[in-house]
Amino acid sequence: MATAITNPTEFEYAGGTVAREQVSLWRDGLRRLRRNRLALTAGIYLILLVVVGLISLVWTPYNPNRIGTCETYALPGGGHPLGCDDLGRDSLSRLMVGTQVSLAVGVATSVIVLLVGVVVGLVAGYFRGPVDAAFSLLINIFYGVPPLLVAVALYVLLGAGLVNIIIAISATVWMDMARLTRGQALSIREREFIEAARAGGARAGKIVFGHILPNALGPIIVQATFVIPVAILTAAFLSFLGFGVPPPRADWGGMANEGLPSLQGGFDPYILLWPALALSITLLAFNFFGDGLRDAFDPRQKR
Amino acid sequence: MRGTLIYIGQRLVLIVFTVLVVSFGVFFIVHLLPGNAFVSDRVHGQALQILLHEYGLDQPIPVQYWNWLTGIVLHGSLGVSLYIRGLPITPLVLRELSVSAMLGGAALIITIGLGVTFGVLAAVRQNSWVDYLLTTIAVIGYSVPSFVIASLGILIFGQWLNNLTNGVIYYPEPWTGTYGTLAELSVPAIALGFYTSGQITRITRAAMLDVIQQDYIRTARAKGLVDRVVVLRHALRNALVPVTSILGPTVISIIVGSVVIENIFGIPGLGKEFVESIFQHDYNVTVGVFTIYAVLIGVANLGVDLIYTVIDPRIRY
Amino acid sequence: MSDRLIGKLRFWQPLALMGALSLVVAACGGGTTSNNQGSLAASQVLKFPVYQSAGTFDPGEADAEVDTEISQNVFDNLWRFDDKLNLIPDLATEVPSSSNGGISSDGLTYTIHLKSNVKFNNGDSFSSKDVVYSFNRAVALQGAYASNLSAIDGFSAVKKAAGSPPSSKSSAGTTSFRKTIEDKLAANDPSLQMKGLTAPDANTVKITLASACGWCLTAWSLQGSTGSIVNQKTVQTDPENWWSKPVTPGSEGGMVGTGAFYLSAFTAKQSMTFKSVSNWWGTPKPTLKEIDIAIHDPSAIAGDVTAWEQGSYDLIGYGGNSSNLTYPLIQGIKGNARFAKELITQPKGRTTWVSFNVGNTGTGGPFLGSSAAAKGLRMAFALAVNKQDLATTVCHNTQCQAATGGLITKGLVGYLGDNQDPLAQFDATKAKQLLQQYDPSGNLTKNLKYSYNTGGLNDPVASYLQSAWQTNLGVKVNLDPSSDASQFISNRLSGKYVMARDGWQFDYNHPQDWFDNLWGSLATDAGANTSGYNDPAYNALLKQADQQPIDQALPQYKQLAKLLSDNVVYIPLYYSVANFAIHSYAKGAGSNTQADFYWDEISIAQH
Repeated sequence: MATAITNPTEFEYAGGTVAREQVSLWRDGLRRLRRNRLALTAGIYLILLVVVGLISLVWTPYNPNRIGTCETYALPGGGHPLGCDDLGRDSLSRLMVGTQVSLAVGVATSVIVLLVGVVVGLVAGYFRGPVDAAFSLLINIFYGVPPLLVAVALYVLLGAGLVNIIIAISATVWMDMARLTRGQALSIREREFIEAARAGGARAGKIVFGHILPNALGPIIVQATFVIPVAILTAAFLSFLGFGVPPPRADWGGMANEGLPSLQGGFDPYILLWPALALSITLLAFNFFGDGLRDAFDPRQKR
Repeated sequence: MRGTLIYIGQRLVLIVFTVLVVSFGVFFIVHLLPGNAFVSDRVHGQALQILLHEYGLDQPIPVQYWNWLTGIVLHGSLGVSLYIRGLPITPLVLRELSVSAMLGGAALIITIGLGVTFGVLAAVRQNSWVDYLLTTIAVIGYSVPSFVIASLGILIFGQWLNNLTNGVIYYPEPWTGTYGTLAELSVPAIALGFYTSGQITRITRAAMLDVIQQDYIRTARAKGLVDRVVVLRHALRNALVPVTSILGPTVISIIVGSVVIENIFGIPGLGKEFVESIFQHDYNVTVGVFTIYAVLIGVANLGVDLIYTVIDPRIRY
Repeated sequence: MSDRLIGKLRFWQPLALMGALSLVVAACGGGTTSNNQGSLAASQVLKFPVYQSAGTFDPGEADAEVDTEISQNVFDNLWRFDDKLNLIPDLATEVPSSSNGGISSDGLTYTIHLKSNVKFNNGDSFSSKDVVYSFNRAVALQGAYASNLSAIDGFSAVKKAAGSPPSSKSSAGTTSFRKTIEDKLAANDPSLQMKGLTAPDANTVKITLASACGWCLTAWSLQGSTGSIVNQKTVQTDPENWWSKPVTPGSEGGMVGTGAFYLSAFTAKQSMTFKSVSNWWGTPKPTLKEIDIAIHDPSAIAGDVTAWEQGSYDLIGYGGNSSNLTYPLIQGIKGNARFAKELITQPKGRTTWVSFNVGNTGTGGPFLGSSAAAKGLRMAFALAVNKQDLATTVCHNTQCQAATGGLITKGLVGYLGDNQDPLAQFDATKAKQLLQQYDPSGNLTKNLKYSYNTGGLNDPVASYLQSAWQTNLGVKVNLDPSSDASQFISNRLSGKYVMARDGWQFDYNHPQDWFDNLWGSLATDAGANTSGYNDPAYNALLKQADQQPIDQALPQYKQLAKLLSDNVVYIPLYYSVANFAIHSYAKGAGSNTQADFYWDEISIAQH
């Protein structure tokens, strides 16, 4: 087992510089990523997951929302390899469709966090002073409340729906990105080439987005990949608590929630087990992949 | 020392400010929500208006917030419940806080105990199968949602083992009374603590390796001290600093996790109350729980910073 | 997977057996007779969980089933229902009728004689002024069930006087509408005294009605509600919270009634304890000494069933929670030979249907109006749903039964009889035909929405309806779920939905409870006419029916039901079925559809 997470050989990168040429940075990174078997396996799984999600848009073995496709609580077997749920809906079909919600929430949240966090971080880090102080206070306030609770509050305020879930989750996970970007901006803005650009009369926007951002991109992208599992997990928590995508649409957290009574009743644990398994493996894969990505593209960062 | 006091002062101001902002934000949000605590097939029209009036809900939100705030400051009262009509909620949420604290405390002990033990073992047996096993468990730990662990706990302890041992080993549900029993606490606390233990394992392991490779440990070894003593005396103490650094996030993780765990196991704590109050539109309870959490997190973070100075005397604020 | 687990799953196959499930009225209870039979257990403590915290036990305000089913054991009415839902005297000496002279020949004046030996739990004696106080107070509070007293002369005046609450003052909690009402009542403020309610002497109450009323006695007998008698002295000690305060020796306040039990401990959202009143005035004397109620989250019910099987609880389903037993749990109990016979099913008195918007012009939709086209489309949607299949698929014929005999549930006065509701039929061909006839282009039924609140059976029902309309009509109806029940109910009551989940659980066994509250001008005036159906013929007939004794009014109520189905105002779906798990040693425990059997009828046999 290649322990990508804690490979001690990483420490040798500790003195590396950011000033390396971009091209070689990416190439080096990809090379390192390819060598990390665990991350590679995780990556392949994630690609498969995306493929399943895409397939489920056009085809599933049965209509995932159709009640009475088979007997209620049917055990795995026959035409239904994963069995059926409490309403006789095909579990495999629902599991496939559930992929869509998880991936959509993960990726969309990641993109939103990327945009919001990077802009806030760059602005705060570059302009410093009162702007920085204001943003830092905001970030600190958000750190002062349990994220899940904020997401729940926003969810109920905005109303049920996939987009609202994404917004609610984004509001609770943008701070890490902002803080990271701010730190990067703070250090990069002191570099000579920024000085040079400023002396050359470049506008702030040009400096921030043309010079600082590209140099901070490595850690930012790594951070963005870590947002995905966090978002998926939060979404699963939310729908497990009953704040998910409105039924009948299948999502893993909601499916697990529906399966809990029959598990507790000593009845049919599979209804809960399948989405729980899917969720766990997917989160595991995202974490392994993210770790691999970090080792590859942001070797200086210690965990 | 003086610097530390100033630091504490600053932090306290930030906590108070955060709590104010959070409570107002949540107050505003919950009062903006459509629906209310009273409406039913039978309660509408005038009956509804009277109830809204009775609880001051027909006033502008800033006025209501001001009333709520003065209620806390002047009377130490978080207001009354709308669901249990007119019941003062302060004793209720304090009781629930104590339940959550017990669960969270148990989970925290499990988390730190498991995490540090696993981390040290993995570091000491670096690159052996022990290391691989423990680090894998750690990754699984923070990848698998706590409700999955909880469900597996119910399945394994509540049912399979129950059936296999004919009820000798049996995880009892439901929770009894306010604080439950030790047996009732076990599975929820493990489910809650397992998630965060993964991160602690990782950090402990990394920090231990870091310290082990430092010169003074090498010197100690060279002097012929036994491995175990070296590890415990020197390495562990230094490795605890980074572990302490994630105690704050760990506490928050446990608070968040407890919301889910309490709802699965029907534990009468703040987390269950929070979800219930949202569904029931019990505004004061929601705001009260939120406020308590904000205070808790602020205090937990401050506490961690102070523990820092104890563990590592070099740190000064 | 362990064999044991699969062993538990074996009962899937005989689904047909479950299809044949018939509703058994819990006759085995026989409440009043079984009290002193067999040998009693040493400990006469009844233990059970409920799944909803008390909202309020105050009879003037209570509107939750859980609350009234508990408080019915603490508070008494002038009359109550026996196990077969007949009226029998409680605090009054007899049920007034024209034959015993209790009701005047014009039906407007009721003379009620009270028992003279009645005492409140705190020792206070009970007299006619307590009835006057309790009724006036209930009207002044304008709680959910104030309208049960609406026929009394002077109701409107008191409602008006009380209904303009004092202007808001500082913080919530100090502005007390309730306190104001209590003060005024204590001062005998004439604005809160109903003209038609007087006490000629200590043991007589005289009630004059504004107009004749065929349903009033039934409504006034609804326990734990506006007709229940409360103690003015204790209410005044704490108008806000008196109902949640335990009764302790020497204290003035607390949840005091005339019933056989009193509240002895109340831990919010956790537990309640009731104890029997020693030397209680009534008969038979209660056998149970104590009732321990655990308040649990609905998610805890699986564990509770295990605890029940182990004997930690005597029953599950009391306190209006009988619908919380989920299908897996019911099957689990049925699969266990020892406990199968302790599972008791009982009609719940709740019907669920789909309401069409037929009368709210602002909301619109293809079903609006009484044209042949609108009616035909409504019929098409009704006929396209196979109600039997829905009951089988969604509730496995365990938690519900197909609604085939009108909106009033089987077992209640006003039930039309099995398969008597034409809208309950399933005829896909005819449905399709009607759709073709009235919406050949499909434009009218495009983008239709079915609105419902999420949770319980509502989600699967919605999915089922969606696929039924898709399969049998070829119409794609979008689902419009609302996770916030209160918002959904508000919208529904104000008629904002084109098609919505609708339902009613009866309060007392009288058709007036349904027809007054759901359709016609009365419902419209109350802001609760979901479908907007407000037909002059309906209103005239209802007014007539409401004024007559039930035996004369019943044909008219059935005529009203026919008007509703002729106009295709609704799609009948199902009648809810309650499931109780009651250990056989809990003698006398059970339910009569209306409510749980009283605690004073229950005893714990040796086991």
